[in-house]
Amino acid sequence: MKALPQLDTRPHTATLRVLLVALAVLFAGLASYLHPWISAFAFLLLFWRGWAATRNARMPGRWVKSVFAVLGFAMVLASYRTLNGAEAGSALLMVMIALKLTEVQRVRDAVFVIVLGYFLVFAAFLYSQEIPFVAWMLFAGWGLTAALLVVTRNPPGASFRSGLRESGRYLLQALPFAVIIFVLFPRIPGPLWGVPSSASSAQSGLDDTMTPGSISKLVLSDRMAFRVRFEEDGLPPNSERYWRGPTLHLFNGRSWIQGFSPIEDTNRASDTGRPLRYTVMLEPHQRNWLYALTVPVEYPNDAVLTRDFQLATRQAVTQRRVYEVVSHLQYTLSPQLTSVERNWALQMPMQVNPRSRALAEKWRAESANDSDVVQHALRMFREQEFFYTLEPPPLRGNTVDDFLFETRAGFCEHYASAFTFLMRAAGVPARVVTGYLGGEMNYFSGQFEVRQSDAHAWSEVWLPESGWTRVDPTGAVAPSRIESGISEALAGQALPAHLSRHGGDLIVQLELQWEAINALWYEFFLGFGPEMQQGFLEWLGLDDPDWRSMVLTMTLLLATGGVLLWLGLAWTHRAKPVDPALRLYRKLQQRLLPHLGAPRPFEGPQDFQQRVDILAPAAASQVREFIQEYVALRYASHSDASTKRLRKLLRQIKA
Amino acid sequence: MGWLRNTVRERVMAWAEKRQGRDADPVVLARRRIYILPTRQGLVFGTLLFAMLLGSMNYSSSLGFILTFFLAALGFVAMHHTHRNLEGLEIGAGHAAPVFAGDEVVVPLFARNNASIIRGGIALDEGHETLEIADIHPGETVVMKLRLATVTRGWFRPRRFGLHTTYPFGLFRAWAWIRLDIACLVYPAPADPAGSPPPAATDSGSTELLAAGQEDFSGLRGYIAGDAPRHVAWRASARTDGELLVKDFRGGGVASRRFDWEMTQGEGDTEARLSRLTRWVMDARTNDENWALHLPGDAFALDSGEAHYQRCLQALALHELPASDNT
Repeated sequence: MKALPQLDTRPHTATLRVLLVALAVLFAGLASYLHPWISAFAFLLLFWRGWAATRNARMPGRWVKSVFAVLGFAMVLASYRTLNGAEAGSALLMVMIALKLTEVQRVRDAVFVIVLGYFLVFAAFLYSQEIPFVAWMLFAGWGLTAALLVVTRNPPGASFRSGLRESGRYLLQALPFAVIIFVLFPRIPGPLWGVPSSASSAQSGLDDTMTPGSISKLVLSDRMAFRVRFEEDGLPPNSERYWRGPTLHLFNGRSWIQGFSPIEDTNRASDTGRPLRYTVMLEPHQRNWLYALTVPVEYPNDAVLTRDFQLATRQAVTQRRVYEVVSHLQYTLSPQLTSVERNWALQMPMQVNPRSRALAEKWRAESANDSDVVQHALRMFREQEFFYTLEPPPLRGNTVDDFLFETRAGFCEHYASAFTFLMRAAGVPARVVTGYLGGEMNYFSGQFEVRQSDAHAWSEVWLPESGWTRVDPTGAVAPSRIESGISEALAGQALPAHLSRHGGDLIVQLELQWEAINALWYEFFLGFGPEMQQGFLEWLGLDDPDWRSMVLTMTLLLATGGVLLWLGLAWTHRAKPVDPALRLYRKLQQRLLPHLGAPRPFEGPQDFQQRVDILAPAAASQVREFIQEYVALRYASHSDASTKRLRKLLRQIKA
Repeated sequence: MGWLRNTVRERVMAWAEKRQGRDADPVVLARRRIYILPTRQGLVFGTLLFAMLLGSMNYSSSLGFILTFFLAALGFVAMHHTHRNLEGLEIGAGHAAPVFAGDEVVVPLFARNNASIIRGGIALDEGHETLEIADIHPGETVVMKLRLATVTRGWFRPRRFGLHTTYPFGLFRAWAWIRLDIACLVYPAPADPAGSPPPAATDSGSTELLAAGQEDFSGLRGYIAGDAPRHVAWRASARTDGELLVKDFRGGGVASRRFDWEMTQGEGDTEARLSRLTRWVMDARTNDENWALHLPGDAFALDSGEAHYQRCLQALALHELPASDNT
């Protein structure tokens, strides 16, 4: 068999350039998140490939490629110390794409690079979901799609611009289907395998230990801790907004530690009063707990209420998560105290803080009951010269003694720590609770925003008549901290910018608006998990949606959409409206079919006429008139031929 | 694997053929006869989607989900477009010029796009080979060349050919098997010129009546079907009103030869004898001689020119072939 011409399967230089530009957009978006060396490496190879394509230079040999590969992997390892995690993984992908570029010769290789590019976009979404970044990455994804279109185009030669336009059209058509699947694809909670922690997601937020200075350091951060959407008129007063985090039991003289928090199935709180329903959008904080107002009575399925009334989760919160909680703000926590709990709540090192112990014992002697002891302590904080400040002098030796009798200036953690210690020394069961107090209403989004700067520590004492009772010693020193928030409480001190801003400022207004947009983005889009899906589908009118009904609905909608798309395409692919003259000509051909047979695709009207002359001589002269008129009508630049006359001529022809 | 693939392919094609039957000429590709499957790249793309879906579930990443679903939806849309790219395409076959056995026959195919949007990357394939790829713009007709190898003389009827497309995105391949009624005449392969020489010329210029020889230019006349293109007076024709003019020659000493089936007894089997006769006819034609051809049951009187040449070769091509095949 004779050799047949082979089709060129190498992407053209222009086609390759489209791919390189799309990758450059993608790499540029990631540059600020990845190690500069990785980006430099990737861009270097990218530019080299572009240069090589224009010069038609030879591809590097196996040795050179091996050296580059080793170099690339070594750089990823050196920069991240691991190949695991979203960031190291992205860096690795980027290096792999850059390396693959050195051997892209055929369409198949180019498609593989594009697929890796899509995966890189995906990996990038795991560690940043900021709106501008996402927008850029989606643009890069569009570029990759255009590149896929251009690269697989055969015959080749499509431009980037036309590729963008055309792929944009396909993406627009795909959008409704994507929305259908996004809404209806059954979501399963929790990870399928371990979620590796990544470098940038180092925990931010409260810890399960508290050392003097740990919370005041946190307050310096303006980062969002969580957002809350309350039901209509549900916003509790400022003094009730205690968002409960870890309860700390063990004191070692300097730090408070959570210790183990025994989990019990039965809720030992007796709650009364109006239920308060709200939705929390929690930023990832890498710890195993959720925040809620004390005391939560309804909470997500995967959380448990611990014995000290914290919402604990089995998995650390590594992704932004949205959950609904119902809390009762009037409650009695643990009306009975077990001996184990009592021992925990009275634990303290034997030898530390002698002066404080002496003071506590004095109060004990003067008091009739535990509440009196509490009042003694609060009165001391209120009446003596204590200062509330973000920058207290450092504490030495016996930290509580040093604070109570020497420095007398501290932040909430100092007061909570000292107060709890005093209570324990006086024989009153007490513990430290950390969490957030306050927050700010964003009137653009209607959401309540709690930031790291709202971090707070307070105490709980157990009183026989009321169970665990919240006592906030900071309130005794700086009542405004509780009534109106931290900026008020610290007014007049040198503060970080975010704590000293004022509402009327234009910048602040803009910031609030941007926050509001972010909040919507997080709440309705990024937080769309199993719980929100359930709620949304119920709101749409799907009764009690389970995965079966979701899959069924999704399939039905996709099938309907597919049919609509098919019909739409049938419409765009419909035959062009035929010129009336041509239609008459076709009619003539049909009429003469018995004599002449099927019209030949390569036959023009003149040739047709010649066949008529031979095969249907009876009609020849009339056909000639028709053909003359037809040719004049269709091809002559100026003529007085008309469709009407043509139709009349056709009528006269007898087959 | 290759064996299995071919077997499956043959089975499927047989099924499709049974389903579709022979096509009208021209045929408009209908929906039910366009098949579609993902390409290798499509499978890679699908693997990517699956990996991204698992990743999104693991990390509970909404953005991961939307990217995954967006790309999945894109694939879905691309599938429809790829299918639609072939649907409604009109295919007709033109006349294929006769060739000698062993040569490649070229069947012109007319692919017509009646739609108002482009049909991109329409590929013509035969067996496993892609022969040609073209874009067909709205309202346009593209001529594609179906090149087929021939082996034996007679009427050559290509069983089928295929049209496929992966446009857009190359994720899916839509194809159609087409079975047009195409018949190409294949002349016997001419024998080696070094073999037995043609019989000696018997006469010179005796057939005055037919002596429209080619020796001396004697003027111009109108074109008659069958005239050799190299005798067309192109410049003179260009000055006329669309009429082709041919240079006429008055022959002087024209060699005349008689080719007889009986003369080729020494050649061996029928095919070898036909090949030898074919060679003689070809040479006579090349030298502008007059010749007569005698075959069992077929005879062509002394003549010259293209039409005579073709008639002779056709008779040689179809000699002793079953009549059912001679249509």
